[in-house]
Amino acid sequence: MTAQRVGPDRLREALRGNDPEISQAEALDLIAASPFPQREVVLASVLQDPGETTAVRSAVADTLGRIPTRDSELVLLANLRVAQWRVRAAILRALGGIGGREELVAIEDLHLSERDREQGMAAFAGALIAHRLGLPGHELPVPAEEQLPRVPDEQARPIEISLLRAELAGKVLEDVARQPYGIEYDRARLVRLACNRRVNVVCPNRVLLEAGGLERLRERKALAGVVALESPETGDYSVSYVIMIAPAGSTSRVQIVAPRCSGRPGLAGTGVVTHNRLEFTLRSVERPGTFPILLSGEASVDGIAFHHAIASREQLPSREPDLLPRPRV
Amino acid sequence: MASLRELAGCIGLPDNFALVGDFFGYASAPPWNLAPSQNLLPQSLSVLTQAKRLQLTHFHVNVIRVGASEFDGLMNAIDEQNLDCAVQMTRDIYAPFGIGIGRVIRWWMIQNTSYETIDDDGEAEDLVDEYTVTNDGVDCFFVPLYKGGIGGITEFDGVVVQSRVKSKEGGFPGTARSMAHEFGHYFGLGHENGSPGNLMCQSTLANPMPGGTNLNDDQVDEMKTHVGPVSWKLLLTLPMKQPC
Repeated sequence: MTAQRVGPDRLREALRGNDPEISQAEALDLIAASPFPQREVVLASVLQDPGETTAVRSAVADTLGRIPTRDSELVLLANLRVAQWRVRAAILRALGGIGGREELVAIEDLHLSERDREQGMAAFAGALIAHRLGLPGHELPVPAEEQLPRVPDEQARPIEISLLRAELAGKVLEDVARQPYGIEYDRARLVRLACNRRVNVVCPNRVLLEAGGLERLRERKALAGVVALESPETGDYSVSYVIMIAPAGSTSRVQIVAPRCSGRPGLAGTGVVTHNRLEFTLRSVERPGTFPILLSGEASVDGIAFHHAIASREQLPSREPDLLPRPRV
Repeated sequence: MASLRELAGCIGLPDNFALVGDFFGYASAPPWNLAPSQNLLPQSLSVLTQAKRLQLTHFHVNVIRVGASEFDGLMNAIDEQNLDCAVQMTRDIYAPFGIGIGRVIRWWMIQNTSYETIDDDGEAEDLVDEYTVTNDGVDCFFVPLYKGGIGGITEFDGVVVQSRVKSKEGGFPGTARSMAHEFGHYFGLGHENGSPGNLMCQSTLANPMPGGTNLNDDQVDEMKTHVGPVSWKLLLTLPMKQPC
């Protein structure tokens, strides 16, 4: 099914939940994937509809964040103060992916405090934009050492590392392009990490691996790349982590944070830049249900080489969902 | 045949169990009529049939509503009914192959997170990792919206199924098939995209419901290797239960 075959009128109705066959999720995917005329206007009408569910409005915001046009930015900016915090959070996340200086200023102007539930997402969005543009400020909090769980040797299993085959690299980058972060990747330098039935592909920012690119990390932060997760259902890839690197004060040390692209905690660590090489160590940030991992290696113009990559067999304790009182049906 | 109380005890229900809410695990009893255009939906429940299915190899399920109402922990009535139909139809899909679904605890919920909209597979991975019901059932997370054009996904320790937003009438059978399909993955089955009549064919290639729900002998054997307590696969998934 394509947007062209379905047609704009039916897609509009589907997006509003009025099509008997095409769900709203499917309509969003079709609209995002095609040059549908005035699609930003159509999406805006659903985003602004107070009668629509929070889930759908949040998904619409996410879709706008996958359409890197000025019109998308304007729709997202115009709705930064909608009533539902979850929709605001989705808008902020979308702006983080495609926004520039103006969007960063708009996020700052929200003056969110700890009482605002979307504050964390605003920080994440601000960090994404600041790292993409190399602007000062907007660093994400660096996790304390005790928030980075160790992987005990007796629980460790190796993460399989390999350079991604060229024919598969094209597919990964095609899929990743659906979630634009304003950076380009080098298909010859994608690295595959496989463990625990999950396959992730590290896609470094092409600019960083060019001559002098890593040296610049001493002075200027950067969006260093993304990690793409292979879907166990479809085999398609979607962004699972975004890698941000910032100078850490000294002349050669850098701070690395790699949250999930949802803004949830992911990985964090440090690195040292010497002679256009970056030696790094990354560990999982503590979060319920995580399988902690440890990655260390180096990046250079030759690509990324991992020296040590292990994951824990043991999962950190997870949460239990709430249980409703059992009705007598 | 064992008594109803003995069967209930076999699947871990308390003595004072309710028939529909506990023995079957549903929020509502048939007739399920909020999708009147659909003629595939079950319209009655048979205690005898479910009792016989408990005497098959079976597995338990925890149904977890993601994005449930902040007021009562439930979803919209039509979504709740979609879920009841999905579980019953999944039971009907597996039973001919000698596999039952035993206890369904249907009252779990997750509110006030951003997981109600799954934007990518990494978010589904986080959801399944972050929440676990600590019993011997397979966790099945029921989310209102999963972007990416798929009905569900299976992770290491649970499955995620999309309710197709607002539970469109035409989506009821698809929700059931997605649920049954993901349980197939959970118990070790891969895709069979060359066989449109097979349950493990991806939905875009499969025969429309009620077709597209068959399993072949090898697939059934594979699923049954997960029966405890001796299978090595216990390391990967929860075991299936021996017949009651």
